Amino acid sequence: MWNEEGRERKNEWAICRHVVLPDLGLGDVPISVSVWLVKRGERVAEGEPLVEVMAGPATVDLPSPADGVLVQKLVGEGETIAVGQRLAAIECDD
Amino acid sequence: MPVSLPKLESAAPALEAFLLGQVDFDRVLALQRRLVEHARDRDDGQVTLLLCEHRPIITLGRGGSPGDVAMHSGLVRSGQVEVRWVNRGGGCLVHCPGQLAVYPIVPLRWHGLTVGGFLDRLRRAIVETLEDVRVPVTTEPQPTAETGASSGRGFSGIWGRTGQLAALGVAVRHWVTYYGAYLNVCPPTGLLRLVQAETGTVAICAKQTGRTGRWRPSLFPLSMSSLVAERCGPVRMTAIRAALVRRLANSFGCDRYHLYTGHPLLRDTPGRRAGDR
Repeated sequence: MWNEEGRERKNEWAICRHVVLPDLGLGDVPISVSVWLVKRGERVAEGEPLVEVMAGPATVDLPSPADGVLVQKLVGEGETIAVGQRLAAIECDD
Repeated sequence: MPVSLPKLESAAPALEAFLLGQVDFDRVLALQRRLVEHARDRDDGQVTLLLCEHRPIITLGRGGSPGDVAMHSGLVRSGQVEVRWVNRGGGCLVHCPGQLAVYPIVPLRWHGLTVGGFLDRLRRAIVETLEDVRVPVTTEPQPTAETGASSGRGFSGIWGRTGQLAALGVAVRHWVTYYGAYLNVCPPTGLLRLVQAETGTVAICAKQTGRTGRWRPSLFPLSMSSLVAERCGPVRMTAIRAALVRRLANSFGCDRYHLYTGHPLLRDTPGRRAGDR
């Protein structure tokens, strides 16, 4: 179950956080995932670029919200995504 | 009676502009990535601006396609003009001397900007610069059945009556921008033909009818063009640079700007390395 902070207690020890597409202020310009920068199962640090999304004349590297392991990719490369959509799950260290 | 002390430090950020001359594309890209890391650590909102020109090279942004490049051209086939993918947004662009590359390093969060807000300000600064040199432009191509305007391809250029004069292609890392825009000032026309501009037609209200004196929209095929073609006369790169720095400083809320020649980090910044994307 997810709480208000987007955190999930996956089991007794691990907490998962979702990577969510923020509002980039681009109106109705379609946004898509261009490339994943981290493989599933790899460790990431908070703030480290996780996935690159493309929106019109801009690409944006979305950072990891926490230290942990990328356990799930919820969208594939080339897929169109929407603001607020969950893109990945990070199993947090603490 | 209370005495008001003069304000020693301005709350508004500064714009530091570095004029790099003609520089290798990969070295400037590496420099931008270093500056992104520096900007991430700063808390004063400084905007760093790199202005330069490149040797002939064609880059394909994430929205580009090899089909937009004249691959059959002798310059491309012989390898004199390299073609490569880059991680900026936007489409296919040719870079060459005479084209002003504009790379603003802006910390978006400090300035309270979204990516869309940044693009609007960058685009506005370029439009105002062109208006300063009396070149009427538009940023809205007229949608047609086959163009992407209605399909959301995301037009990002600036057009004059002769074609596309500038293109935007931006990347954001750690919520700091790099890459930016390319303004065709006085490039060789033959090189511009190596790539196709954003497809479609554009309406420019720039044709004045002789009898009525009214502005009449005219349709032009979208092709890459330059300020020289637009003005049918010489255009000084230095004048464009000076106007652009002033406009960008104003656009990003900087109350002062400083100009430098070269950049101290460029000397020890290597070019492309294996594994760079």
